[in-house]
Amino acid sequence: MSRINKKVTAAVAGGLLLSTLATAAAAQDGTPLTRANMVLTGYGSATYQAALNNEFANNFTASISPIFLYNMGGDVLFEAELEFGLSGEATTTTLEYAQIDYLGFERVIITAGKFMIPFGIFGDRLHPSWINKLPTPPLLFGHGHGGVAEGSLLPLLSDAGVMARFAQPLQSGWSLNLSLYATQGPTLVDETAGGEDGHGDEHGAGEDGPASIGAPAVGFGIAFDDNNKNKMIGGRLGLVKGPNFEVNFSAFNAMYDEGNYQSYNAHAVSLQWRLRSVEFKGEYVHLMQEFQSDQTFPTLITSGYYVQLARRIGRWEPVVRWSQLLDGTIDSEAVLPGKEILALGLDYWIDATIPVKLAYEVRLDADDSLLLQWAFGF
Amino acid sequence: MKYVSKAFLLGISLLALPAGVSGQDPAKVAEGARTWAQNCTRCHNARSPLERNDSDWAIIVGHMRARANLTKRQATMITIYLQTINRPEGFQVLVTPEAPEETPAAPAAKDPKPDKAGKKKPVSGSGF
Ligand code: HEC
Repeated sequence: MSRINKKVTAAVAGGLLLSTLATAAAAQDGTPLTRANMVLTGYGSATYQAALNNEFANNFTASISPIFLYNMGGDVLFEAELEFGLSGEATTTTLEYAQIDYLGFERVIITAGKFMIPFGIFGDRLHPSWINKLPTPPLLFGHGHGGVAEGSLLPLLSDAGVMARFAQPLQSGWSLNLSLYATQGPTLVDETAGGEDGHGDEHGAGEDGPASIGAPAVGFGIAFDDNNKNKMIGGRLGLVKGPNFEVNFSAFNAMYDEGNYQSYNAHAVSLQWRLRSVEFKGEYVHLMQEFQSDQTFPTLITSGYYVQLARRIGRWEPVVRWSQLLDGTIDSEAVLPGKEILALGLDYWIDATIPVKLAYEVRLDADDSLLLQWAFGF
Repeated sequence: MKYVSKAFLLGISLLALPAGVSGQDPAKVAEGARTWAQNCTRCHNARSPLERNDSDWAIIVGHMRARANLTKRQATMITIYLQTINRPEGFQVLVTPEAPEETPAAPAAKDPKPDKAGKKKPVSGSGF
């Protein structure tokens, strides 16, 4: 986490504390505990994971993500989410988002601050542990709440900037939505420094990452002191039919180095479709990272996808998800190994926001693992 | 979807609420019910309307409006619906078979099935 990120986190945590103190004081004079313009909500989870096969290893993790909503009057909403988690022996704190939304226009919402980037659908809408039907994120996106972060294509994207979200209802239950943003964008990550809290959102670090072939590691949402004049520009277009169908196209483009000449391009297609009790979700992500290697500028292409099927049977919901990272290529030549995970899960919904998830993950390149997660949205 | 049709029922049944119980324009409540059913179960399970009070819903629907790219009108109608159905009187209508019989013309209703409302057990509004 960068210095400024830490400051923002501290400011939000301080604000939460102050508001708690204020309400505690109010309680003593007999005024109600809750304030009409504020909501404290969020989610949390406790996870048990056991690695099977060779050497049996197991561990517990837990995380809690309080969400603080504050109506600043008129049509202005402040929303912030912090995540407290466990990573080894350390407690990690992440500012997922802290943003101001202007809700005064009929069909446009203007947002400024640090927000979840609408790239694909997992990051900004499916990752909360009471929404994600498996204890882990698909291989495409990094750290999972209460789940385990594995080498993934991208971290959950959250960055500082401005965003406009448009809504356009069409005929007979169809609607279009478009979200456009400009943010600080990705930056080069000094791999020797290492994430001090073990929670870095870097893409590319690690043995099998782009760094292993000389492409620099790129970090997202950690460049609060922007390292170049270029902004990350991107958008997502969605076509929706009622509650059961949505298809999205997302893209962003940015320069990630100080000299402003190495580009990063990302594209994604996401599909969500429900037919009675059966729900399908799938996403495909394609990344192009240009980098300098001696006097040439090769482009590393990495990509991956996941498909997930779930079927609700009373309170039970079996889930299957296949995630695959394809081989990374330069000039169509494979330079990075792909990987895949098959996740088989069975959820039991105690309530609409309280799933108990049991999952078995089959990996081709590592030990299988068994996970049990109890999640709750509050 | 089971809870989607429940939402229709709730919206429709609400039209039978004697004026004053909800204090809201029944046409708006019905539009809110439809809009809720169309938009509030796409990303996650439906959250029970009973879980929040009026001021919480006003704020949370704003939060969800930004997540889901909804128009201001859609958000307003959903808020009106949730602020009406989040009290026991709102749900009572669903389990009282007589009420729908007195339902005035329901312009929003595609498929009101008022007879079914009487057979249903009380629900939490979330499909659980
Ligand atoms: C585009 C996906 C999406 C849609 C559509 C959606 N939600 Fe949500 N909802 C979320 C996510 C994601 C969260 C978790 C909070 C977060 O990440 O900020 C959430 C959280 C909530 C919560 C918990 C409190 C909170 O504000 O975090 C409630 C209650 C809720 N949603 C109700 C609704 C209602 C009512 C609607 C219809 C207006 C709705 N949702 C539509 C994605 C969605």
